[in-house]
Amino acid sequence: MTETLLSIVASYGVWVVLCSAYISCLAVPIPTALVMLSAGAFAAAGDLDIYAVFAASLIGAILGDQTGFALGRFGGTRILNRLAQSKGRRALLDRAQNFVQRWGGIGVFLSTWLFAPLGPWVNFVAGANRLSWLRFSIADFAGEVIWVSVYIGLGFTFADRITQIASLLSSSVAFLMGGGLTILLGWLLVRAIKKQRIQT
Amino acid sequence: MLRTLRDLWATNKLLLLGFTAALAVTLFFGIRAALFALYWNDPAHRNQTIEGWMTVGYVAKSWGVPRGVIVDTLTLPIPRDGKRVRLHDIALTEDVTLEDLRDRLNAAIAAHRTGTE
Repeated sequence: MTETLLSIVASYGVWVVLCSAYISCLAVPIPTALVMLSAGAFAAAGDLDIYAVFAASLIGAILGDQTGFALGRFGGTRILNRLAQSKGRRALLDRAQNFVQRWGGIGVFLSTWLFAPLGPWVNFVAGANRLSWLRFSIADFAGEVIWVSVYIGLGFTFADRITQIASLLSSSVAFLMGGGLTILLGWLLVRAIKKQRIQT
Repeated sequence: MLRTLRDLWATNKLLLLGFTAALAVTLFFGIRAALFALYWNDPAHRNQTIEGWMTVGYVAKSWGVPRGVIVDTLTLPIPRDGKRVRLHDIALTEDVTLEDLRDRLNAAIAAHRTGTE
């Protein structure tokens, strides 16, 4: 599969990168990381312009995230309002909204690169729960710059052995995501232990 | 330590299980990635066989030879606008097999390397 993908990127260039980044930010499972990796490698080989690759990835990703946010903001809010007609649910949804208001910025930021598979859903939820557009956009931009730079940078640096890096990729991504989750849960555990100590 | 764990188990079972699972997954993929990295660090495993998806520029980059070596070997009428020509396309237009191109390129790269040594 890697080779087919490399072949497509070689033929169509930055347009593949742009479309792939956009679509994958809308929850369509496309291996955009691999696309950016190979585009970085072709840039190192002088076949693509590195700035064009970077711009295409970033623009595609940000437009995709903004689309997801807008879908949540205009479609999701309506669904939430209908759900909130019962009192019990209203309370639950209020709690969800408070959570988004409090953690939305950092959540969006991390979901663009560290927990990338969650990205599309986080955008939608952020939009539906009326996270401010400016906060969303700033966090999103900062995160996407990291996401795009890391993969293009890896492809560019290790261009001479791109198929090998591709085979390493899934393990490394799973490692980083697992690591992020472990830290998050560990932090919650520490908080729980502290709470216990106070109680006893 | 053990008491803390037991208390946690009583109060935060899910959290504790989740943490352990996440840690195990992280270790598993960390070791896997490290093994991959070690394997590819061995120069013997590093040479990339020339494949159809590779562009002229990419072959040059991958094998560390000037682009001209590849271009001259393939005696291409390189199109001005589309600089990305895949070997697959070259094989099609020249009506040769990929193996044939591969052999010619390997020979040219070897010749270039002995020439520059």
